[in-house]
Amino acid sequence: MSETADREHFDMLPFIAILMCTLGSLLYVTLIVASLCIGPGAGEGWIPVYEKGQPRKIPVLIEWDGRTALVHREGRKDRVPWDGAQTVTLPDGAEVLVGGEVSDASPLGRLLSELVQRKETHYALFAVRPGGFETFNQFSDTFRERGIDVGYEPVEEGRPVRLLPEGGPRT
Amino acid sequence: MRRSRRRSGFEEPSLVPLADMLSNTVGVMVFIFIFTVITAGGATVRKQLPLERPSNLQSVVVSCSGDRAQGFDHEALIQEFLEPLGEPTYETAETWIEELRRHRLEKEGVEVHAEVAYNTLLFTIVPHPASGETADELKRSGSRFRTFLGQLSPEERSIFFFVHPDCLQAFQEARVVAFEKGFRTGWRPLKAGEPLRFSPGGRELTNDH
Repeated sequence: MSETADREHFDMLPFIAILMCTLGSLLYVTLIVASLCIGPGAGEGWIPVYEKGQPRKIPVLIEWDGRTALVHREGRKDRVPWDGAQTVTLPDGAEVLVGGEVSDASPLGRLLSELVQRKETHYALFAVRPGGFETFNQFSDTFRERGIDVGYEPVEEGRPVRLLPEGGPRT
Repeated sequence: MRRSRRRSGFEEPSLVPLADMLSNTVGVMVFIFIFTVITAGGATVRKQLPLERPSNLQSVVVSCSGDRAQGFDHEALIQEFLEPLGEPTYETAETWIEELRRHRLEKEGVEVHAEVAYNTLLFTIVPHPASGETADELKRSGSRFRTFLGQLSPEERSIFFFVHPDCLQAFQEARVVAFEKGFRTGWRPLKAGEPLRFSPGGRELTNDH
């Protein structure tokens, strides 16, 4: 009699265990991805805010990592190597990278020409990575020397940055 | 088959409701997952974007290094450094330069020394590694940095930050404190370990906020 009763019992416990495992795994993945998005992996979306009397120029966002400039354009990002950079040895023996002649045909030359043409309305906004701190002053001088206004802001290594339109979302 | 089940008295339950429940749960979780990622990924920072411009205010300097920020009046320090050396004359120039090279001033957690390079005076200010305050310490209402800024007038002075690559957090926090107190600010990146150097013909300390 008891044998028959055992056979009739259908145990749902394994299925609940499967359900719980699935739920747990999904929750884990969700939390990991969310924490990465909010924490170290969170990107920055910059929205211009102008104060009274500040010129309302349009920023052209350029990421600088020390060797290559990443120019943000509508719908794409262009890599622009630092054309003309050369290492110079100072009297104390230290070596520094300085800007040299920039060819008009090079990507940097074309970027500079483009910004020079629009310098009344646009300016170069640099997002400077820690890796680019050492050479930034020399690199940005290439723009200053041509009368292009510059602005710069530090951004952590690997953190995505983008420019949002004025009046965009607020956090 | 049907007959045999009846004979044993066992009715096999349908697994369809369970599969249904499982699918619903997974679907809801995936939906939450996508929503969370999209929401978190769109985090934005509303900020007044920097634009470099010359400053008509006298700057004081904040050194940001090793995740610590420390403010000081570099011009007052240089003045104090030069005071005991007196004015050089044509006859005393050589000994004056020798004395200048040997002379050290230690004050407010920084060391000042100088040399003659590129035909001009070059002052170097080296903050002590343990001086200054971390980002958390800067947030406190009674922080030394707030006290330091409290002694200055935003109408007369602007704040200029020299930032090393290992000090982004303390820099951001110190700049927020300076904004709160109404100061104009500017900053310049330095390579790791690079000391703060000042010379009469050096690069101008600009503002960008």
